[in-house]
Amino acid sequence: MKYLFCTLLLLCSLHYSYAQTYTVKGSVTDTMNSTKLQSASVVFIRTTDSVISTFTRTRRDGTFEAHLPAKGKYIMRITFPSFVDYIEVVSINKDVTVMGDMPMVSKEHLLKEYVLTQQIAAIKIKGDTTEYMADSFKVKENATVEDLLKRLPGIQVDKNGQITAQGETVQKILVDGEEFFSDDPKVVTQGLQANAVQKVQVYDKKSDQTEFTGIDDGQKTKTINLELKEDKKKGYFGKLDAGGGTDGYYQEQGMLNAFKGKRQISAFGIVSNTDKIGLGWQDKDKYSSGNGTTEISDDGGIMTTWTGGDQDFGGWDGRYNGQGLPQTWTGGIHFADKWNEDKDHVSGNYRYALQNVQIDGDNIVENLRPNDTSTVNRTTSHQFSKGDRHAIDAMYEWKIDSNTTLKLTANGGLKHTNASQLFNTISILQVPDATDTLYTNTRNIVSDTRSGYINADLLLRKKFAKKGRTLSFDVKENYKKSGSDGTFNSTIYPELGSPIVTDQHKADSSNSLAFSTKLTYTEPLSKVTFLELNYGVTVNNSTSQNYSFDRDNTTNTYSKLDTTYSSNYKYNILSNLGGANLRFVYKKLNFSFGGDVSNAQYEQKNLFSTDSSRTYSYLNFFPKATFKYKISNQSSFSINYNGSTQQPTITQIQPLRQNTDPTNITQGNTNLKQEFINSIDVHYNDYKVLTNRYLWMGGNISFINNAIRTSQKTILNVDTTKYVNVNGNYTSWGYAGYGFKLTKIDIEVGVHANLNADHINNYVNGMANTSNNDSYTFGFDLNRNKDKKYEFRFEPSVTYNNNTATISTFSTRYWTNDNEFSGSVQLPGKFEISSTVDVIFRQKTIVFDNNTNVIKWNAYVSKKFLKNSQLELRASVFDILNQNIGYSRNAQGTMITQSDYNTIRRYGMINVIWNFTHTPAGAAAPPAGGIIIHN
Amino acid sequence: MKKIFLVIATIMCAHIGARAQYTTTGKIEYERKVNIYAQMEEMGDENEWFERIKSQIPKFQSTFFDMVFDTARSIYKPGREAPGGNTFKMFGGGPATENIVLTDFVAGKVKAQKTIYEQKFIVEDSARKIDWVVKDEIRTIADFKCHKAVGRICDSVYVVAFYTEDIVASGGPEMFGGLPGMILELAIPRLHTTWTADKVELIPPKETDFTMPEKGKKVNEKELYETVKSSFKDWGKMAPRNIWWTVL
Repeated sequence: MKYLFCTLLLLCSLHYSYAQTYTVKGSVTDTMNSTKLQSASVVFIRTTDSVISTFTRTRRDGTFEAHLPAKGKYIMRITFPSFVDYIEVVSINKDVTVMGDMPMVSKEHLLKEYVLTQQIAAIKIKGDTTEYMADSFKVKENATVEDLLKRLPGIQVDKNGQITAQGETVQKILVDGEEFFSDDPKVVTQGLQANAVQKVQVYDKKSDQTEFTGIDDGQKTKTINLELKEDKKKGYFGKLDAGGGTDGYYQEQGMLNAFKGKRQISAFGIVSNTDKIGLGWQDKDKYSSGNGTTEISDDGGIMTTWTGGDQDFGGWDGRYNGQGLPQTWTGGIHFADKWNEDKDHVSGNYRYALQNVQIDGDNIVENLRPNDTSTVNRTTSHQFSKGDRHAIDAMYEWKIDSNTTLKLTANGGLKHTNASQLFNTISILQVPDATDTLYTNTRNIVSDTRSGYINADLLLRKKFAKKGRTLSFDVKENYKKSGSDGTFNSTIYPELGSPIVTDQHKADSSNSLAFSTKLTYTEPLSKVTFLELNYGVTVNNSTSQNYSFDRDNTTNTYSKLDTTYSSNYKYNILSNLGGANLRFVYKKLNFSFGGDVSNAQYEQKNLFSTDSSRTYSYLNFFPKATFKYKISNQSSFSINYNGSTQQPTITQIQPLRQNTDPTNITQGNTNLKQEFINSIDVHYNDYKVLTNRYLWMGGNISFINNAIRTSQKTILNVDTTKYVNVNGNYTSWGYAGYGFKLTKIDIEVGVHANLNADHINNYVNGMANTSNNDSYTFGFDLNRNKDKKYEFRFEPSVTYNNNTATISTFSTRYWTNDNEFSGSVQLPGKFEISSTVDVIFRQKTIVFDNNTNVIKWNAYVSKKFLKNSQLELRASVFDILNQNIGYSRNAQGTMITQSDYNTIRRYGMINVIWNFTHTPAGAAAPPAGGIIIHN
Repeated sequence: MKKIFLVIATIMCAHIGARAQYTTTGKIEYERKVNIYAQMEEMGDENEWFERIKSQIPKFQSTFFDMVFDTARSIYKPGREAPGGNTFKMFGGGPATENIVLTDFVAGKVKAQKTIYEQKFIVEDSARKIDWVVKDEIRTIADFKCHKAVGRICDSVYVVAFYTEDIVASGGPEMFGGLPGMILELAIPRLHTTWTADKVELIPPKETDFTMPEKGKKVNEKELYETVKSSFKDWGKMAPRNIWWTVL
């Protein structure tokens, strides 16, 4: 039996040899020349389901022998190049069937027939395309495409769903030009709603179809293309969330998005006194313009850049993260539309926010001094502010052609803030084993500030036919204006001597107008080398007025101008920036180097005094080099070098004299040189997808030459700070992490470590000092999730801080430990319970002697109702143990600061959340708002 | 009726595909096109970010593959780089772009090196058996007359093939084959992907063309399927598609 198989040229599956087979024998002959045809293909197709049962090729002598797995009817098809296919239905019911000689006819003999066929076809079809507008043909509600096709003249649909157009069988049905939209054309015609179709196009042969579908579609293929309506996506969705709580807490939100095709109008409103002060980033995408720009990077990655969340509108996550207790009324509307095949795109936003914030805080500032002494300022503050704000932005993008894009963006805003601040400070000199009060200070500041801005940006980008050649031109305008009016009262009570009283009216105003342009050109020098050139000019003109008026006790008005603390400055800055960058891209390597040079000219004029005009000019360099090695698609290594000059700020050269903090005074230094920073970055990451392991690490070190640092002197309780150039400073940080999955117990594990080390040279009371601010963190996390069932996470970390200064043997060292545990479980009956516990320990020091250990525990229970869980009832308790505090601790050089302040504490709340969505039948539902748990 | 149609269709193609001989050896270049828009749109609400980059990427991503064959075997491997630099790389470089597949028609065996993310696999198994259903449609692809056949993999994933009996080898892109001739066009609708032969050169292959790399974890088809199935367990909507790409 087996030897027969060896004669077969092509594979017939071996399993035939183990089962009963039925043999068919025969031979193939060219009828004209009576020659046997070798290698003709003989295929047996089951008539029941058209499956190819077996196939073989004829031997040298034109004979063939095929083995069929079962009895039954088969279509035998024999093909040979340039011969007409021979087709015969054969019944196999014996072990061996002998077919005899199969005659084949050369195509040349059928040429006449062919011409005739074509003529007939030519008569039936006029033009290349027949197009039907779907809406012109009435079909009943919920009719399918098949129902629609039946109504179209010239198209017939038989009971099997087979479609004939203009007398020919339709072989392809495209949807929006795509052929393989679905496995089966019937799925398209029977599954798609007729009202979603805009046009039905019938082609005969279509050469530009290749471009359309990417498929070279042979010669004569009768094709129907269904063009879908743009507005098949029509409807609205939204969310209503009403919450009322104990202790006067409330949180109400409503949002709606109505869309029709690509046009979108949405609105939202939030009223709350919890930390919910804006849309989070998820809701922002649905109900606002979102604020990310997503681009494709050079190496094919996708990169989303977020323009820093505007804190007045809730920032990135929609949560208040400032100090104190907020109270918010906010809302906005958003509009977006695209038309002309998406070549034109418009979007706009208007937002409003009114926010009251009350802050009660304690602040401790420790300044290390020589001889193991330090000054410690303890301040308690009470602040209240009321701010309202309007903001508007608009964007228009026009794709002029496939290579040219014009984008215009503009935004503007107005803000009005009333604030009153009260500070009580006690300043203590801490010497070994003793403390000595230096003075106490009470300050009261009231201000009323109004500001506004208008910005515009025009960006033109053009790609050229040559790969890698691009040109872009960017023009920006920024205008800002602000004015404030208020009073300043301060009384200093020194331990020795009489109180120093300041009672002033302050009137400040400033405005600035800047224009900048930038031209960027990239040119491919070879297949692997690219040159980038850029040049830009920036002009920035601004004025700044600060007026202080003393109270005239005779008239009881603030009419005496205090010239020491008043100024009227005009600044003009002109800078030119040009640069070049050369990039090599070769396989897995990406290397670039280059740099920018900038010339910045400053002109500063105090309009108060005639001879105080100063000009500064700085030539800044920004060299850079990057080396990237892509080890694999999930693994890469990179080193970056950046050099940059940092010129002194105006405040460091010639500060405005301010008396709002009379015990801290800054003095200018006109001899300051610019800093030069050399910064090196190293990164490595490796992700193993199949085994779910990842490793990442990186670090940075920056050396600062001519670092501009403080030189501080204390004279009669007043700290005077001047900026000087010092050398030997650096900052550095590093991190590393490793994550993997314990598959047996289904737990994801991550470990990570962080390091920060700063080395700062400065002067304290005339003495040279070197400070080291170091911190080390180690932590790990454990996760266990089961989709729609539960989610648990445990994340402990520990940090050690070590701050030393050479002027003092006294150092500040402390541990902090943060343990976060969170979990949620989905229970039967659409119940869910969820809780997070955050246990924070912070070690006390001699100066930071108050207890700031906190256990912050939040929990909620929720139940969902209705189809799709659209309605949710949620009961939650925030900070169950009522221990929450706002807190920060920070070390920089010889100064260590700790702040704690009031924040939201324990409250309970009941929320009713309704997610709603409406789309017409047949249209795809858009993502619904809020959280929906699918069961 | 069917028969008549077939005859007519054959005639219509006749003036182009006239070739009096069978092809037994040669080199085929396939252009693989992935409709990225359709793939992303299928993901529904998980692809909101896609709308933002849609305008920056072409609808189709092209990758080229070469196949050399004689009557006993064929090898399919990465071909020339796509012109114009299609920079958008889904799944980090695109799935199944580095696959090398050696098919032995005589022994009915297949050996493939598949790069799936960070791991290389050497898959050795018998040639896949697909029940191909013949369809009436005929197309000319790269000057060859091709018949249409439809099959299924992974129980439910349809595969549309256009094969030519004028090429004797029963091969095709990736691990597809088992038809009475060479597959010159292959479409997997669920992956929105097509492989189309854009040229067939009648050059005999060299012995060195059939050398297979040996680097990779040795598995059979079933083991590979189980491995990727557990790896992509938590991938949600992406999981089935990722699995299909690995079993091609």
